[in-house]
Amino acid sequence: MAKPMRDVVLAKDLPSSLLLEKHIEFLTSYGTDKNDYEFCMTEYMRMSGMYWVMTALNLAGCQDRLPAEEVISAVVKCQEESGGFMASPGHDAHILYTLSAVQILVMYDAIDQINIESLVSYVSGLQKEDGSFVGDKWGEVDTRFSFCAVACLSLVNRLDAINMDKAVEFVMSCMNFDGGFGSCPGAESHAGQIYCCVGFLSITGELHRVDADLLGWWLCERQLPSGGLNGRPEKLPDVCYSWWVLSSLSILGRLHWVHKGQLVKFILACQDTETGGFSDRPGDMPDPFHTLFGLAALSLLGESPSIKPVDPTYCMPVHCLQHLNSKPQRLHI
Amino acid sequence: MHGRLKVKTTKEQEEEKRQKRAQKVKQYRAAFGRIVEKRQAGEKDEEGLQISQQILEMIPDIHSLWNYRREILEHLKEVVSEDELQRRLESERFLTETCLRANPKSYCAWHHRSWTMDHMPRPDWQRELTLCTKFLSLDERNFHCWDYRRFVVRRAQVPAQKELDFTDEKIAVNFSNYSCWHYRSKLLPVVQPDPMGVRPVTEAKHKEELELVQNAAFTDPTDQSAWFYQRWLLGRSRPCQAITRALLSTGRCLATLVHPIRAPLGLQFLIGAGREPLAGTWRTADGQSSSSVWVFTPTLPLPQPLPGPVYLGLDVDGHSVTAELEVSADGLSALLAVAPDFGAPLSPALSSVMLEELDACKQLLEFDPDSKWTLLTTVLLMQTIDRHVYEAETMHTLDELVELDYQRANYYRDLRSRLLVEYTLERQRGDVVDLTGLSLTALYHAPLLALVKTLILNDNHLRRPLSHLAALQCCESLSLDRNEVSSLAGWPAMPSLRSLSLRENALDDLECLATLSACPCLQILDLRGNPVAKGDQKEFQKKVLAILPSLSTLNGEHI
Amino acid sequence: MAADSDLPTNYDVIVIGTGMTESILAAAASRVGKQVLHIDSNEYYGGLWSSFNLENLNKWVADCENKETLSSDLDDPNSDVKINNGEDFVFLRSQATHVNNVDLKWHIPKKSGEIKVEQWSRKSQTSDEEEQIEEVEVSESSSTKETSTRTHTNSESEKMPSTQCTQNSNWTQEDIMREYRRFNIDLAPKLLFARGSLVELLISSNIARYTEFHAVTRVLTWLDGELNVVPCSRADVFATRHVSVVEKRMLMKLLTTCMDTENLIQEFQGFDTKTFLDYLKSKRLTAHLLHYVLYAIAMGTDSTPCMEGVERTQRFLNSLGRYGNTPFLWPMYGTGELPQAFCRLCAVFGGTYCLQHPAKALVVADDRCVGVVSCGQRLAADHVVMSISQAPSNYFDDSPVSGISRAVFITNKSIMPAEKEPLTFLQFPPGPNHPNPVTVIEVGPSTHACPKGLFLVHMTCKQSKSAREDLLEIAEHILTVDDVNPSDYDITTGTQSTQTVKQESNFAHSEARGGNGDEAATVRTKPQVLWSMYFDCLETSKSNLSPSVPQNLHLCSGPDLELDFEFSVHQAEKIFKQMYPDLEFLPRAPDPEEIVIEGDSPEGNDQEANLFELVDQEDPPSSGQQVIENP
Repeated sequence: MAKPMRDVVLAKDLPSSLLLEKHIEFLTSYGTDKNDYEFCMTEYMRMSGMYWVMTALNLAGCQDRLPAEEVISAVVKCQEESGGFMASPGHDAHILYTLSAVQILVMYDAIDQINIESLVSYVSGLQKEDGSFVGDKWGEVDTRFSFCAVACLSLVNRLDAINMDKAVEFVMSCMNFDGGFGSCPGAESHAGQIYCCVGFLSITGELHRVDADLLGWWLCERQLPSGGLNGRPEKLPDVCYSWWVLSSLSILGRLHWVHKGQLVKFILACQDTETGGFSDRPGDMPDPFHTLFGLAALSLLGESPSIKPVDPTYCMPVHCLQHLNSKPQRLHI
Repeated sequence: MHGRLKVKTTKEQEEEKRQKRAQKVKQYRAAFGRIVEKRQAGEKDEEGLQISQQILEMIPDIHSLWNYRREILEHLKEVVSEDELQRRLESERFLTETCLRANPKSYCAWHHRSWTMDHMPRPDWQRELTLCTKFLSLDERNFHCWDYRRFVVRRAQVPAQKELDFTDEKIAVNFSNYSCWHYRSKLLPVVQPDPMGVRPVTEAKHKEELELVQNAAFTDPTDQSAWFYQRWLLGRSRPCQAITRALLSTGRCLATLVHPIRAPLGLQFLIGAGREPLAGTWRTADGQSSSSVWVFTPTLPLPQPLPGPVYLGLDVDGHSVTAELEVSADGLSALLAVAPDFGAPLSPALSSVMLEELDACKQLLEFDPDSKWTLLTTVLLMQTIDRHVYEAETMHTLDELVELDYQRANYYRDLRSRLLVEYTLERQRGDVVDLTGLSLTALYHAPLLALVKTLILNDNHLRRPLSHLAALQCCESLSLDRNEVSSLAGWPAMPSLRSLSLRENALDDLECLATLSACPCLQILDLRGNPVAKGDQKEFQKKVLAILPSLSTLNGEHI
Repeated sequence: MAADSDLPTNYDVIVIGTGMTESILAAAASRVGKQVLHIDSNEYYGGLWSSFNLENLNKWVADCENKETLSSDLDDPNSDVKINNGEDFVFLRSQATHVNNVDLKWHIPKKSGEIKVEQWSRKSQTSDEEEQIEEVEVSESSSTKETSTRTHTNSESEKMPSTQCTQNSNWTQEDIMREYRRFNIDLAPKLLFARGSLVELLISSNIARYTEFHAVTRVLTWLDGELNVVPCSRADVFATRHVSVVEKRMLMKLLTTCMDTENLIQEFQGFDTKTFLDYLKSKRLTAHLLHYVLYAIAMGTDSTPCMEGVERTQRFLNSLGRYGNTPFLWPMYGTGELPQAFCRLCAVFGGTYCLQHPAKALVVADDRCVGVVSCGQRLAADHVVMSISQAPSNYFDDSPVSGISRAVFITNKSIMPAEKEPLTFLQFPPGPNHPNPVTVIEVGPSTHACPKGLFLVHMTCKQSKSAREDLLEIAEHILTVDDVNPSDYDITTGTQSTQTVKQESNFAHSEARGGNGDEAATVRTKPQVLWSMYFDCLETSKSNLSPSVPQNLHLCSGPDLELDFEFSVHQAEKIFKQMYPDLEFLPRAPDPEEIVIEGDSPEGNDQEANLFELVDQEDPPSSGQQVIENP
């Protein structure tokens, strides 16, 4: 009669140690076969794909496994005249891919190879009267884009280019009864969206506007008996939420509110022992997206010395962020 | 690859799949290549719609293709009749339906549907609303559809009450519907706003809602949704911004506020009967861009004695608020320390509702003594009803929760620590605050300790970086003996700190002591019983002095 | 006879009678490649499992009363069929011999303005009934006068005629007979448990595509002299305002305990020899909860053994949440559809069907049935399957004494009107004057049981005297069974002005405790019975067969007393295993089957691929219509 909890049961024979070498193989094979079906069908988000692969390799200490010059020039070529970046040639620029491009270039310390002024004007041009950001000129509003905008601008030290007060007001208008955030005013809280908004507030130094205890509680309640984290109540666990929930908790100074050992166990169980890479849940298909977020979560959990420290706001290796004028804010208790 | 099961396949199956996929890749490449050509040529025509449709039906998330369609449609708007445009947009709406069938979570397809409806000469919003209702009966948690519904509701100007009725229906079907409770939290304050502005809804509705969630709790106490909603209903209203601490003296001037602020708007000391503003600059105590503890540096030395009354002003929501400081007998300093108020006043009616709720929870616990949701709710209720009467019971319940819900043990430990600090701060006033032996795992309310001179935190479980000690601007002596501090990384600048005792902690790295050099007055340091202090004491002393040359006493020995 | 004489004479299986078990067996045999001949003496399918429109029901009643004539009608088989040495004829009986005490009665005037009540009613024993029926039939086409006063019956757009129209409608016999085709009146009304063996069989065998169902919308019970909605699902428990929150927890906890198979042994230690009532009492349930669980959910009595009660509770709960808000499904067009669905499958796989094809005798030799005499032919098969009702009395060790009492009422509104047309299951616990529980099923027009504006109420219990004596008292609790006073029919205004007042003076009216507030708020009058029929029928599910039944003759029971079809399905499976121990019973069709539900969605729907299946259609039927089909 009681509603059964939605969760997975971890089988005994699932991997329990980090298969880093396998993951590096998995990541470096990304795009080696240009005719690969998955690779081709995800062309429309290639820039993000490259960011996932790059960042994951960087966290594994193997960024040099990819030809830097090739990657940089591929990214640089994707900057449109507007200043925004497209996911791959032939597509339209979008703030999502603009952030991915900037992140890749920052990791390669090659941000000066693009036209920063036009980048800044592209991003600031996406801000609307009410402070929100659209993803491109077609008007979709989402707090994800608010995060992308301030992350982009802060990575080039140009936060001054937007109306910060209004941007903050808009994000705050998306706060909910549970302390979390949705995609737009009225929308339900979702761990991915919370990451964007908490990340936004950490970049803009406005974290005090969050009810950190209330939100932290909601976030730690995402942990299921399997140890995995879901993104909303009554949903299944997924490795990518390990990142979104955990990074938010980390920014709020409440990472310890989840059970680290059980979460590590769940994440490790999502490794593919054959091909390398992480999947959303044990037994599913691995992909670069979940591989990055699996590795990044393990980094935040601090239990895997072979993974470099990751910054919870930017999801980039900490050592790549030394040049920032202002460090993203963190709360402590 | 969300939720795609990896299945073992036979060789033939694999080969067949490979060929099919190779074919698809070819088709995609050809079609997309054609689109790129057409866009470059500025062709906005039927063929563009056809080709992009074929690709989108396969991959609905290619936003560039939707963009191209919108370009074509915007172009058509100029050249075709209104009826034709209506027809075009209706088939556009149908395409989004096809795409959403393949991927109900496609951001692009949902957005395109909104765009389509907004550009339709004669949009049928009622139909959209009906579709949303149907869709939500099939997947009651699809947040894209809920968002789209809210968009439709805005456009169709559906009254909030009607939507509230809709949530009633949905909850009756299945009350484990977090999306629905969320929607209620947005609708209720619109439909039944509290005329007093204290609570989100009127008192009568508030009571009704509590009864509703109580029904859910009693039917299935393991259901999260209702408990989250209940916590919102029971939540205290956010306290008003106010000044809680202020000090004006030679050597140290500061102000502490209930809520952090980003810029010291209107924050100024006003001196004398004429309330003359004191010139000077403000900065945050912790160096962050916003803070609740602000430090003031007067441009000129303070007049001695202070001429008459001293006030501190602050802008709150555009209004200027002032608080008067108490000038010391010698006239050299002025101080304000507002007694902390951690409770929230309840109306008698609400108070009795809360008592009923508490009683209900206790009955629930008779059936399910291990229900963590019920236990946590009793804690919240007891804190709301009378935090002093229920102090012991609260602590006992939290201890139980630590055992029961071990995944979140640290949450309950921190909550316990927070309440213990609150109880202590209500009892202990003055320069010395003693929080010894409370098993604290977190130090909450540091800003309220801004004026404290001696803080004793011995025999607790503190272990994480203590950067929030930056608020302790006046603290001269800090004792953290027998905690679990393993690193001083992130140790803040404490301008008054003279004596720091960290006996029997877990410090094992000498280098991290360097952060203490940010405390300019530090003279006495005790690290006895730490791994780092093991071995030859002379050698140790030498190394520490190399890092902190101004120390006069180390580990109890005068240097 | 001559027209039928060209039937082939040899089969693997001959099935005599199209009742439930027989039809399942016919389908099962045909499905595994056996040559099946399926015959029935009636012109309709289903035998005692059939559903009739009002006219055909009258014919059936007439047949039941003329059973003696019918059996004497039989030709002497010797005249056509020859038997060899060592063979014997065994003459078969008519199914109608199993039905007794038929008592059919109108409670309303024949037509508007008629005066004497006595004239409307007729006892089945009277001989002039045929005439009366004919009169009605004749008048059917001539009378058009009333249509203006009762437009609702013809108005397809009316959503809820029962609540809106019945109060001011003056139904006459003519009105009802004019719509006789819109009735599907069941002889053996039964429900399907959503996870019962019949539903599983329908799905696994792919027969589901021939059938359609409605989910029962509510389970009622009779408590403290009034009707109560039983909170039987998680959503019901949450929504009901008639039990306290503490009771909600008690109920949920108890039900969860019964479902917790892991800890069952521990929980019920020491109750093996006690009753379910003892157990429930030990849980200190409140009186209401105890009533709900024991009488409504477990459908038990005070003497139900504990573990049986637990099993029944589990059966109820296991079927929850699959379709709709209760564990039960009701077949569209009535129970009679189900045997037909199996017959259809049998036919698809090559079975031969002959209605109006009575089997007059078996030819038996050496403990085997070597022939079936039908329509002047001698047919042969390895196995003969036959309804028990046709078996000669010497095939039983003791003649069946147990019987079922049945009543059917046509009423003018639901026993508890609701916003959407209700489909109700109700079980009366045994009372001082009725030692056995009484099962009530109320069905409305959307199941095609009756025309708009009317309801059918079925009552069933174990026979102790006659159906009328057994069931009248219960009927009076929830229905007005008195004849309508003709003076209440105000022809000029078309309103039945004084009727409700009279009813209320006769019976303490009940303010039913409904599932939601609006139901309880209105004071209700009981529905008026417009037409009633009582009959008794033998209960053959526990018959003791004698050793003289030939080895290859398989006898199938008629409708049993239980609410569901479990007995028939299991009996069919058991007989099939005797016939073909090595073959699979109605094997799963090669394609995966699925149940597509219209209206209601099951809990925890995760199949996003199907999300838009229903979107962009017109509104589905307002009541949760269930379609079990092969996608």
